[in-house]
Amino acid sequence: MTLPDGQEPEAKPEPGAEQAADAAASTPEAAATTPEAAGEAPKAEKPAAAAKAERPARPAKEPEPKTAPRVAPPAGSVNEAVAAASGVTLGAAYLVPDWKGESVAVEVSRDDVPAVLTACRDDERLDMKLLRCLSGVDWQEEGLEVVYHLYSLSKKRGVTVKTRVSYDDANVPSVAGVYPAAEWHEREARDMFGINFTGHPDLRPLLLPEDMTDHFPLRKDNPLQEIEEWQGENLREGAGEEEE
Amino acid sequence: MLLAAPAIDIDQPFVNAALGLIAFTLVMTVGVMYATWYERKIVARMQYRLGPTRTGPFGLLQPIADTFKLLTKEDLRPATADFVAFELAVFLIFIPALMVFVAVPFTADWFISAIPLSLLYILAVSGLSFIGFLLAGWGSDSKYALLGGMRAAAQLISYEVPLIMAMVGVVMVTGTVDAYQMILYQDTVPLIVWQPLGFMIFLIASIAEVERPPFDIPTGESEVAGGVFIEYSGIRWSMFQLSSYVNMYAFALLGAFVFMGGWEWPFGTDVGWGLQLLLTVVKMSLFIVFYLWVRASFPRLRPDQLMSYAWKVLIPFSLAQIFFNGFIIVYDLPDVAYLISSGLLTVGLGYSAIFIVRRGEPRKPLQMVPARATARKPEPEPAVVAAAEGAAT
Amino acid sequence: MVAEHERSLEVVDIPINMGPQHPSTHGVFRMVLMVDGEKCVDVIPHIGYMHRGGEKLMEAMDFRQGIGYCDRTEYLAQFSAELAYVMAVERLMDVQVPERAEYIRVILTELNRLSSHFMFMGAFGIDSGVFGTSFTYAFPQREYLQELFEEVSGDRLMYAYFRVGGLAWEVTDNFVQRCHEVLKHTQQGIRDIDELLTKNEIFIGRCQGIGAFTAEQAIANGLSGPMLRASGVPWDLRKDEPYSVYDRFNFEIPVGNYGDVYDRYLVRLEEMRQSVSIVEQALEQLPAEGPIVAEKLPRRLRTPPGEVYAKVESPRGEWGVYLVSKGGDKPYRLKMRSPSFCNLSALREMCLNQFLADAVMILGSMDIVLCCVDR
Repeated sequence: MTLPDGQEPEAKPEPGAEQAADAAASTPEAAATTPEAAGEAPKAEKPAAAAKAERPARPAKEPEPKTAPRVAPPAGSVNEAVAAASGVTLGAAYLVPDWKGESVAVEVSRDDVPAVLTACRDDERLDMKLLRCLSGVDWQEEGLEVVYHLYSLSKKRGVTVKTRVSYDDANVPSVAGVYPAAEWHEREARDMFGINFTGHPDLRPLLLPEDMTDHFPLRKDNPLQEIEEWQGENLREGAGEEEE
Repeated sequence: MLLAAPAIDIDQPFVNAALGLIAFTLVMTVGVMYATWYERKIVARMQYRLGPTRTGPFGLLQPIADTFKLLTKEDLRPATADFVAFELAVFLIFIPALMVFVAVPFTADWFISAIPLSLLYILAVSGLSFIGFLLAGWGSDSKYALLGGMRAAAQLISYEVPLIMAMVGVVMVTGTVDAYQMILYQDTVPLIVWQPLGFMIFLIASIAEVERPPFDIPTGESEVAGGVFIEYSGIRWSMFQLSSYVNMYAFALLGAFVFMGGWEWPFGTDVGWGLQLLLTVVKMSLFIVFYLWVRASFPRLRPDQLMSYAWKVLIPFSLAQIFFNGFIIVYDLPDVAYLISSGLLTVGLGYSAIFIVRRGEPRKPLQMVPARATARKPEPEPAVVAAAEGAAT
Repeated sequence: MVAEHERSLEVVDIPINMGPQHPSTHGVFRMVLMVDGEKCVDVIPHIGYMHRGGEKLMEAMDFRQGIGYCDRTEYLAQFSAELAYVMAVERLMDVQVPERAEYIRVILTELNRLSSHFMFMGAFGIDSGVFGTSFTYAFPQREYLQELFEEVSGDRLMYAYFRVGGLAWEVTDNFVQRCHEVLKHTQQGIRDIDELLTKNEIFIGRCQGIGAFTAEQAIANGLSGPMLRASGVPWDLRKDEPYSVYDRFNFEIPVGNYGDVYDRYLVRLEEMRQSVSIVEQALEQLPAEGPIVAEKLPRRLRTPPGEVYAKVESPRGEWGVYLVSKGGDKPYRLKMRSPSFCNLSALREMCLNQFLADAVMILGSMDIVLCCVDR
């Protein structure tokens, strides 16, 4: 079912209710209560669907929360050990959801990355020998972020190290010397986000054509316009609901 | 030749031989076509498959369909290929493969030419094909083909040595290099009994000589993607394949004559050509089925393993065989001495293969790290209750 | 300027372009081997021929649509890829998956591991030079698994059967019985492969001591899965960070001693037996009835802002999904940590100074999926 523009049916399930549930779920403290909180959404939906003919006024749109509320890790968490081992003043540390519980993410400035990662690898209290994953994230106005997921096979715990750089000065020291596993990940991040990993042994494009060094497809300034038009929220309301 | 030779009674040995060769080439080509069918059927059965079934009864027309497909395919030659080498290579492989049969006695009466040194001739001619492989590898102007050609040359020359040495042992026992006389010698006991080591070495080296798995290193599909054949197509490619099969027939026949008594053993010379031909075909088929069986069950050797096996195992053992045979001849020991010496060496060959592959201490088995259930499955009742509650809200 | 007669004596390493079209590169993968005779003196892998920008595409798909893309990325272990993705979303949304759905997920994922390992056994046999026999031993049995998946999900390749919060629909009525049937065939297949290859002298000669990695090397290079376990690191996410209901089964994790190609083969073979055991236990514990989708899910899935790194033990190793959400119904950023990609990055180090024929075996022992490498 497609309607011309501007004639959106008003039966949209109240977004406010869902967002409230979402916001509640996002804090770890509220995690336990979330199934109940999430349950509000369908409940709120039903009256709205029933009242389709009446076309109630759409509730005022609340601004969506764009970032998760940050909860500081409890004392004695891994971030303190990282700080102690590396001797570097870390940035913000907060909990991120992990499977069964939370793990700790720490932000460091980009110049400290090799020192922090070396400490994580070599320090016996941390012993994080495994670089699980290295991802780039484009935060638009807030710059580019590189996320390192480290893990200790002996201690069975991990830490997420993040560093942020601006578009104009997207240089991050390479950790390929610390973790050989990072070599290809860094090349990929350079392909996709244009993050220049200084000191990398061989920063040729990996996934992209070898001459494609000036365009970074995973940055947010390459919108998937034609696809987005037919995806997700941009689908007409009815189309998504008929499937259910 | 098989059918033609007795019928033609021209007192011109050259004409006779030429007619026989032409007839033989035609028979062999058709025979090889059906050898592919035979191989596909047998290997398919070994692999839980059926093989060709759709073309004609039991897929019998499949080789004809294949032939037409191959003949009508475009004949490609890379622009940078060396014209002469590229075109000549096919014939340098194809013709020697067929020439081998000139000296092969199929029955007591049927052969194209009775050469007194026929064994020598067969081994010499069959050893020519490596030139063709080298030319093809070089002329194709492809690195895979070059690698394949070099591998083929190295392999064929290396395995020629133990093959000929094994034959030398046989020649020492029989005292002749004429295949016909050799067959007559095996009137009562085939040579496989007197020279088991020679037989084993021949069996292994002949697989390497015809480049069939596990010695298909020059054409290894997963490494050099066809090797020397990589740039050939259509009729030329099929000529390569044809000569490979003809070679396989040749060595199967050679093995049947030299070690299994050919048409002589166990019925003697005077049983008539029908039974003799049957005996020859059956013995040859045993070899061919063995080649196919090996093909279906073994991985490919690595070039260095192939080389070291030839030079470090097969050649020393075949030399030892020659030494023992000479000892027996000089001191005029009874024939049983051949069996004893050669049999012991065969056992040694078997053990040496195991020692060469499994050097060092035995490997430790895998460690099994247990992952034990830490959580138990909750009792079904609460789950049902929870589900019911969930449904209620 | 080198004189002509001196030039002719120069020893030159030949670059050999293996791939993108080559029988044993398992897809469109290209490696340039610098060979000195038969020895590889340098290996330069080139990937990206199948790069479709999947991560970018998934940023434009909502959370349900994204499931389908997981299949297309890892087309031999589709259920593992789907599981990691739905687990990431479920963790962000804090959805509790019903018991029965978890068990069915585990059963299907383990059966998928079997089918993936069958594929490995067949392909690895071909790499080692067996004329198709390993393939024809493995594939009929794999076909039974495929048929089961088709019955359950409606598709042979792109299952898209897992959903955020559970499963798409109820499994077929005779699912348990069909699983038992399929397991019989599977065990037959494992036995066949075992008898064909494990004790084969030539196979042993080709595999032992090739591409060996120590535990330290393997960890530093980010290997995971059977590759890592073959090097002697007993690390299996199913045991060490149990997800879904894996903490309810008894099984064993095979760990190699030498880290060579042969150990990788043995580890995978043993893993298949353990998977059969896990499926049997799961079938025993599977609740006869119950919901298969979490209750009270919103119609349009929206996650709160946040990030999560979900990981599962796929047949190739750790399949991770790093999901960053800014709220809304689409991922803000989705990185797929594919085990093939990480394992393949160690190819150069493994192949140096090995024979050309060994490079093929080493590549085969990695069991890469090129779609999963390039994404």
